[in-house]
Amino acid sequence: MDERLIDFKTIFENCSGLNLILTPDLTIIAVSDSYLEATLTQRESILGKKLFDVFPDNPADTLSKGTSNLSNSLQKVLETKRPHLMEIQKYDVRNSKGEFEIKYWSPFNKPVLNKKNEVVYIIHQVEDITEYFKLKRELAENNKLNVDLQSANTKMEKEIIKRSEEIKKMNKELEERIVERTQQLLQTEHKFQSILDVMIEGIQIIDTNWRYVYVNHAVAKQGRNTKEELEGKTMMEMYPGIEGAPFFKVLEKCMKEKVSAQIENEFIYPNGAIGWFDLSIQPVPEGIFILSIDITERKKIEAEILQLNNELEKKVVERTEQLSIINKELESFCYSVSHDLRSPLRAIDGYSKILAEDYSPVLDNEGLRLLKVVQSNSKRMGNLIDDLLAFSHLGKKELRKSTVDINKLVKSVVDEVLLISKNTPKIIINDMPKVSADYSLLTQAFTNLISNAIKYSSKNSESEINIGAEKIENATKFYVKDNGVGFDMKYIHKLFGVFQRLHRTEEFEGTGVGLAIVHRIISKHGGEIWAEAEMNKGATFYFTLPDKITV
Amino acid sequence: MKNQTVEILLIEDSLYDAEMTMRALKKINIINTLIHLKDGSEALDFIFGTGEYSDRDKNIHPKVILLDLKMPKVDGIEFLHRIKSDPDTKKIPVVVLTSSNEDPDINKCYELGVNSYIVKPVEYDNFTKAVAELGLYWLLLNQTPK
Repeated sequence: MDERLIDFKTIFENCSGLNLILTPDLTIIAVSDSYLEATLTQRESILGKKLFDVFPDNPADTLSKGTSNLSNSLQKVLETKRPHLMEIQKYDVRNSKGEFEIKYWSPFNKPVLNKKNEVVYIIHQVEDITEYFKLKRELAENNKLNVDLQSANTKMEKEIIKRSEEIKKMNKELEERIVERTQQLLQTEHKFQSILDVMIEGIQIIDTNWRYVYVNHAVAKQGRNTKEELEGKTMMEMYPGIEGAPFFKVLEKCMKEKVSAQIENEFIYPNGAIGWFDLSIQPVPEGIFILSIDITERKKIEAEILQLNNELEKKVVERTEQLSIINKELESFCYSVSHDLRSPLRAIDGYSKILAEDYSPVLDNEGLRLLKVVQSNSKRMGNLIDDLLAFSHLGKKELRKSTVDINKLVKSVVDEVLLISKNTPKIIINDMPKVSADYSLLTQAFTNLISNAIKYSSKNSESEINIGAEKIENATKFYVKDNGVGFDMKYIHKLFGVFQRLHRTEEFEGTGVGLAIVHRIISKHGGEIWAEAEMNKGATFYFTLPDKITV
Repeated sequence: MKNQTVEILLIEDSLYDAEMTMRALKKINIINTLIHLKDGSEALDFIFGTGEYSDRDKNIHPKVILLDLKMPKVDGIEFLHRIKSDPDTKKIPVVVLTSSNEDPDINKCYELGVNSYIVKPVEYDNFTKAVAELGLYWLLLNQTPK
């Protein structure tokens, strides 16, 4: 048969092998159907194209060395002109959708030489071993899993043995500790019981049948019996008739309703003695728990205090009565003073007047002078009595507070005082704030202070009196200042005493009651009074009136 | 004397006060028929015609009674109580003389129906003046109900 008539192309293309024919510049010039099938390509799309343009690496498989291995192998074939069997290659192929499929290949490159021993073609023959490779790999993985499982098993067995040993050890320790704890607990219980037994407070547990389950020594002592006598007995056995006692009702309520209570209970002993107990009753599973404290002494003291208080109150009442009697006596004394002392005084004054009227022709000048002395002294005594009475009345008088315009008050006092005054000093009244005070008492105080100032500055030809006030903390401070004779500050302590005078009557008239009255008025208002003076340089009297007068 | 008209009955235990009172009234010439009694007991006898005055006509009443409060035996208050609770005598004007306006009995006097009271001043001049004014008022100006 003529060789030229044989269609080698068709035959080649139909060969079962996966063959690709390349030129030395790696252009695809022929391909078998089976190669196309395996690489998911079409003949038209790969013929005449460069091998690596058609089969690039899978970009998702960064480790892929398919193209470089193949390129190296082909280069080797071109250089050595000898066939080259490549190792198994992972060389993913692109399907019609452009996605890569994982493929494993066994490639074989074989040069085709011409007569000049030049490489004219390269036959690139591959076997698709993807399925085989997968199977082989699964097998290998299975083997590994088996090995892992086995080693895990071995490890687990060892672990179990170790654990069980540990548990055994722990159990043993636990047992030891339980024994230890039980002993401790027993000791503690014993300790607590001992403490309960000897506590000062009485402790008793009574069950639902009213039987003493536990009592401590204190309870026994409180009940005047022993622990042994009480325990096991019922309350009714110990104290017949106790059901009738009021406190038993409380115990019953606690027992039945499971409630707690606290009471102070009077306990009468069989011999009639009385004890007081503070009982705290608590429901407990057994029945009731009673904590009892002996408060007999406290009760005794309370009773004593109560009695003392009553006695004290009685004494206060008695003293108050005595005081009010004394007050009454004082009042009647004041009346007697004013009545009985005035009566003879009136006679002295009256009869000396009658003497003067009827007998002046037969009396010489000395006789008349002596009569005048009698009269002036009786008048002075009358003034003393009046002042004393006024002073004693101040004590009884109650404050009648109102808002007082001090400027107006002082102005009217000054006018009044000047009316009966022998001298007319310069009087400066500075602006003063309104205060809350008793109008008539304050008028009296200012009258006394201002008339004193006028009196004691009467010997100064340029006498000047200053009256004013200033606001201080929580009060108003008033002052009455003169430039009169003043006084020696070493006698200041006598200044506000009744009948105390720092000047002789011949120098300045007076009874020594005026400042005592002022002092009393200011004290009644809750204020203070004091003075500053210097001999022959004048005196200043200060007093305060608090903003809030508490009566 | 015992049954003559009495214009002023002065009941005063202090002889000095009485003398000064009478001197003051004498000065204004109204002393004519003044009787001075030294305590309440004597005064009661006089008014009710008892004891020493049992033969006196008790229907002759003084025009005014000047009564001191503090007296021995029967004091001013008791005297006042007696004559003000008797319908026959309660219309006689009574002026109380007292040494002090502190007298706690002053209120009682008003409760008993006293007509007025005066405080006897210590100074003779004031005393004379007060008594004189009092005498003039009760004897010359005040008309007692018949």
